Amino acid sequence: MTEDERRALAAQARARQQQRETTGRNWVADHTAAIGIGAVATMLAFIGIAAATGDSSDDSTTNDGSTTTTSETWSQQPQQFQDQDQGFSDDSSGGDTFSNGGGAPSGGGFSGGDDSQGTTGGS
Amino acid sequence: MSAPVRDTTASFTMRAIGTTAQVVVTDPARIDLAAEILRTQLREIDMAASRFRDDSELARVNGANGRAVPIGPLLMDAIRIALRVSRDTEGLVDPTIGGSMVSLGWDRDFTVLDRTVARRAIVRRTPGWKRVEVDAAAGTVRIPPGAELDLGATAKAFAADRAATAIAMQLGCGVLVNLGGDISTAGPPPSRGWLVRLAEDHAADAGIVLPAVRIESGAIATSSTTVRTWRANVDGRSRTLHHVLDPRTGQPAESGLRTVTVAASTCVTANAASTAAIVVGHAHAATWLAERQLSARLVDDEAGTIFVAGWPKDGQED
Repeated sequence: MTEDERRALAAQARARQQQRETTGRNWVADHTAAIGIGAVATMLAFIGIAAATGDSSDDSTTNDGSTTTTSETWSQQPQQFQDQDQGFSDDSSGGDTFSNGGGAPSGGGFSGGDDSQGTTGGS
Repeated sequence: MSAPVRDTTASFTMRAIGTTAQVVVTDPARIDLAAEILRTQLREIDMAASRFRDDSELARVNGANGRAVPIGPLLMDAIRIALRVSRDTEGLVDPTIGGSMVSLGWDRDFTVLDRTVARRAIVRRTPGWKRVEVDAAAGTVRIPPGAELDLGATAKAFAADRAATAIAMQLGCGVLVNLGGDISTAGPPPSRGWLVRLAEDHAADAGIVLPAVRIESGAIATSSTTVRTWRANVDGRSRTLHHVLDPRTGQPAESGLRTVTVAASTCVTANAASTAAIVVGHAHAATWLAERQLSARLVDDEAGTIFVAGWPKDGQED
C-alpha cells in the first residue's frame, strides 16, 4: 500500500468516525426536538432517573424493588444521569446500546486456529 | 479510490488487564505499531478503570465514601457507557455489582485468586445503577457510601472498540482487537472477512477444531458461566460461583446457559447483550435477543446450541 492510499484510508476512517459521532449527537437532538420538554421529562421518568433529581422516595429505591435507608444529604444531591446520552467523547459510546445491530455473521465452517484471526469465548 | 483488501495478516498477543490481549492487522508491516498503540491504550484503561489497582481512578471512586470524585475523560466515558448499558438492559447489567462481587470472593485479579479453596462469602445486595451520580460538566462521579463499581461487563469491550478504532485510524489498515474474547474490528477486513473461532474459553488452544464465523465489520463477544469460576462457602454451603452476577439478587445468575455469543456493531453492544442474556436465563434469553435483532449463538446446559436472528449453524460455510 502506498502512503497516498494509506492516507486516504485514514481519511475514510476519520470520516466514518465523524459520521458516527454526528449520528449519536443527532439522535439526542432529534429525540429532544421531536418530543418536546414535557415528553423528555416523561421519558426520563420512565427510565427511572428523573425522580433522582429531587424525589427522595425514588432515590431510595434499589433496582430490585426493595428500599434502603438513604441519608438526607445523599437524596438531595443533583442527579446528572439524564445527560447520559450526550457529550461522549468516544464514538462507541453514544446513543442507544441496541439501536444499531451488527447483522448476522456468515458461516465460517470449522477452524483449528491456524487460519482464524481470533477466538471468542469466556474469559 | 476503493479500499484494497488484504489476505495476509499479522498478529501480536500479550497479557494485559488480567487477560489475553491480541491485535491483528491486514498490513503485516504495521503490526509493531499496532501492538504499541494497543499497549498504550490498555495501560490507560487499566489506570482508569481497574478495580484491582489501588492507584486507579476507579479505586478512588470506590473508596470515596459517598463523596464526588473528579475523574478523567476516559473513566467518565467508561462509567457513562456502563450506565447507558444498564438503562438499555433495564438493569440486567449493572456496574454497582462491585460490592457484591467482592463479598462473594472475587476481590483481586483473577490470575492470583485461589480458586480451589472455598472462602467464606456473603451475598450483598447491589445499590443499583440509578444511584450513580455523574456530573459530566464538573467531571465528577459519586456513588453511595459503601458501594463499589465494577466495570468488567463493559470496560473491556469499550477498550476493544476504542483500540480497534484508534489503530485503524492511525495506521490506515484493517484491525481486529481481541481482549479476552471481546473482539472488535475496524478498517477494511481481509477479503473473506475476519474468521473467528467460537469457544467456551477464549484461551482454547490453537489446534482445537471449533465452529467459526466470519464478520466483515463490527464486533463479537461471548459471556460464559463456566470459565471465570471460583469456590466459596455461602450460607454454610460450598458452591462454585461464576462472575456473571444477577444485579437483582447479588448472586451469580442461575442461567442454565453455558455461553452466549453475540455479534453487533460494537463490542460494547455485543458484550452488553451477551451478559444480559446470561442473566435473563435460558428460558427467555433467545427471545430477549431476537426482540432486539441481535444475532447470537447460545449454548444451553440442556437444550444444546441455539441460533438466533440469522446466526449460521455450526460448521456452515457461506
